[in-house]
Amino acid sequence: MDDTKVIASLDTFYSACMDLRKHNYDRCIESCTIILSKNPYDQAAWALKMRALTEQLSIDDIEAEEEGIADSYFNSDAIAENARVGTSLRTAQDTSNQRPRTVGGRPLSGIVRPSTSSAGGNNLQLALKTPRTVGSSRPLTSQTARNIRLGTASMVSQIDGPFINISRLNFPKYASDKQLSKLLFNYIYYQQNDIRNALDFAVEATKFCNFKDPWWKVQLGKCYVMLGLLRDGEAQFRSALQHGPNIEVFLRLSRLFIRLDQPLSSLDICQKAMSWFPHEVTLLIEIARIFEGLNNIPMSVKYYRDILELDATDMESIACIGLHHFYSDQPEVALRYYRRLLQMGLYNAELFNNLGLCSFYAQQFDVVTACFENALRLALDDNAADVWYNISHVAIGFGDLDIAEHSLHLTLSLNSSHGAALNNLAVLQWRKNNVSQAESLLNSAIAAEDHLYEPHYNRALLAQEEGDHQTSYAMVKKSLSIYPNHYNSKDILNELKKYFSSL
Amino acid sequence: MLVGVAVVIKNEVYFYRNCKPYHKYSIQSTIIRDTEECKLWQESEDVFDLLKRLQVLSSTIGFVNLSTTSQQMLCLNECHLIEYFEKYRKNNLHTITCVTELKRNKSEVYGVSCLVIATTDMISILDTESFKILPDKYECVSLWNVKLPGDPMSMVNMYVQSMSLEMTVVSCNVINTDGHSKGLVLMYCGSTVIHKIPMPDPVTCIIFGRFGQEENALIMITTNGKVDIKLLKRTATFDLCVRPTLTAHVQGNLSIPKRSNVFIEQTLREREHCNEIHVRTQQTWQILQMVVSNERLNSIKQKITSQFLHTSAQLLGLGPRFKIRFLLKNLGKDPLMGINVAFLYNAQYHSIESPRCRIPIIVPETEIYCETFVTCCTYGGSYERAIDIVVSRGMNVIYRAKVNMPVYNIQTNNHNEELNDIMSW
Repeated sequence: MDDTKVIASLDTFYSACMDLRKHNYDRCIESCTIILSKNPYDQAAWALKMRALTEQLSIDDIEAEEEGIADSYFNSDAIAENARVGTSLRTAQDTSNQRPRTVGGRPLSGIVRPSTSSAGGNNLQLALKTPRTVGSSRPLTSQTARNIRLGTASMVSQIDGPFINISRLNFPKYASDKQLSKLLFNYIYYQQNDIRNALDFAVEATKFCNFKDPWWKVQLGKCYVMLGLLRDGEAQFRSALQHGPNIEVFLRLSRLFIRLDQPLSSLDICQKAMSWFPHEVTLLIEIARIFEGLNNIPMSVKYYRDILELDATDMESIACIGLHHFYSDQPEVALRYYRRLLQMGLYNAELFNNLGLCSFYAQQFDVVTACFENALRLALDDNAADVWYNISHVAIGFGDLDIAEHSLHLTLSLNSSHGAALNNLAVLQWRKNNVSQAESLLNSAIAAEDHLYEPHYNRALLAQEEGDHQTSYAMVKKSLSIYPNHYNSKDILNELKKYFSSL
Repeated sequence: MLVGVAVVIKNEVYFYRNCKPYHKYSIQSTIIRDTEECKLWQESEDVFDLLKRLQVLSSTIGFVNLSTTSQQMLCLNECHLIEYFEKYRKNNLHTITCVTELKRNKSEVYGVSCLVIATTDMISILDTESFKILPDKYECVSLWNVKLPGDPMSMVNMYVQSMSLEMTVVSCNVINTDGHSKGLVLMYCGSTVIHKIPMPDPVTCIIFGRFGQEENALIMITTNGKVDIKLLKRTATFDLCVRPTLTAHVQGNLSIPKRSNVFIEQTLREREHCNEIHVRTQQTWQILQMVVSNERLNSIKQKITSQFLHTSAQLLGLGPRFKIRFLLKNLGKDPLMGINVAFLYNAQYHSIESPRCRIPIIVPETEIYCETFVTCCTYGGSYERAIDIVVSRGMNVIYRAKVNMPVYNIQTNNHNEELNDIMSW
């Protein structure tokens, strides 16, 4: 018999169920709509449609946390303004001055994930002033961040009105229904992204099951966290853990402490979780990330290595270890890690860019340009700037200063506030004796990204050569405040001190 | 309770009370069992004679039972023997090197103290009431070892109450490269050096405490009889971060990573195929040169980059109303006159207060900016929301820039409802 005939003869509800299983959400929703138009009180179809709509949009929301500007600066949970060294992600001591920084001033990580790109500073002014593009700006609140990532359905207009009108829903009635309540909650939380109603609903539901269901406690905690009531969230998660250990809850609790800027408590939670689930990769990743955030790179790399022993295909670990090798002067080892990523099927501008840089520093010159050509081909607007910047580096290495200058101009055309590019362009102009241009470019570099010490140092050197000792002193001071052990800056400072004392 | 002063000369301890001699205690009689050894040192005229006799003695009573001086003598290299012999023959074998007091009961501040006597060989504790050596039941545990930059001369404990910081001050005799001995005072916190004071002469004696009005004073006596008084500044800060003690040999240990296998393979490849690598590199680089030049040419044609103008845009505010600040800088030598800046936008997504701005002159090397307010209306893709900025002089476009607008909260639905909710909270 013809297959299509069999399918056509299937019960609509059954085929809808199959469609859901096959992640064929649109068809599932369609079938459910047909059933519901015939019988609006068909609860099974209603639940199925709800599930399909939810799953269409649901993501792993443990990872998708990005702290918005408002969350980090207007929170009332800030306990200590000046946290002790090593206890806060914001004041994490910078031990790795070789690693370049992101626009926000954080040392670069091997992988871009939520919150690695965001600023670590405490300064609201800075956060608001940092050149904000889609690529670099932080969202205003974590809710916004979610919206961008998900594009929640609430923004997509529905032709025949909303599927469920939440404001007219009888919460106690549905919350008491054990079959439906969880589905409905997920629908409100993920699909509608209506956290306040989701919270109300969860409160009703947990009341109904006599506060005995850990699932509802976790959901309550999730809602509290989304609303910024972190301490209430913590209480819910802890209470959920009393019913038994659960990786998800441990992870959520750890994330919550990171939002409270208490990485040590977060590590504590992870260690506790590890005693229950000793080989759990997600927990190890969490620990490795926290160590990286604390700038404890050796520990972070140790955990990433542990992860690779358990799961040899974890891209984040490979990338992070590769990066570590690159910045500890072993580009040939880093090259191996990145090649592994390429073999695993990753194919993007960043990877080719890294491969090009690694082979350049490992003196494999014949493949460098091929890598960068690939990177340029794959690059989008926001990462093309960095690719051009790296090409300029290679050009300087090859001694081709004209090409270097062109590449730097191209970098700036894509990202006009690329501090490092401005700085390097200034140095190139300086070599060509264009001192005034070099000076103004350096000033722009400082204005664009004032967490780099190089422009400050160069400005100091330039000022000293010109005999402007006062500016030189001010600049060298700034350079040393960013990188206290910079030898050349200290040199200038000593010379200036000698000069000033001889006056 | 009686206050006394104990003074040590060679191997005798003199006790004074009320500035009168009270008791003399000689350690020789009780501690030194091996008078034979002393005799050897005094009687022998020659180094080698002494060496022979000492070897005989060590085989009879055991090497361990010899004094440290003799032990070192036996272990010494031949070329240093005579020097060593001359240095120590006049000295008594068992001199007291340092003494200190030790409270018999730690909690009693004004309680009776014992005297801890250290000779070249051993540490013993003397009871100051009965003048007898206490049975040696004490045990010591070494907490850490520090390598000093030179021979230690004296040490003192330094407790700064205002900082609640306890330090150990050690003075060392450092031999310079030119052969002169100099003093160096090191302050240890735990096993880390937190401060160093170089002194012109070796410091033989240090004391820390109150000096007149000053709480924290360090008084030092140097070998040539100078008294040096150092006061601790009230604002002093010590560098307390933990780092390995690099006092003696400051050798910059560069962290050079191990040579990996891959590295060796690669160098082999370079050696064997150097020609091919070079040719290929040159070829591909020439191609990339063309790509770069082309791109640059295009960008100049499209006025995205300019040699004479550097711009950057800042976006201030939290939204939906932002302030765009567009900074212009003239990189050329001549002033730019009659510049117009226009903001091009899609009216569906934004509204801009004054979308154009005239800048009469841009003087070289100074930065000027123009500002305008932009209000976002609806949600859209990033390309649709971007605002183009065009800089023109007369009819000529000289520069173009694009500002990507950040995402902000627009609650298009139930916006008012939410506002009411916030009010009622």
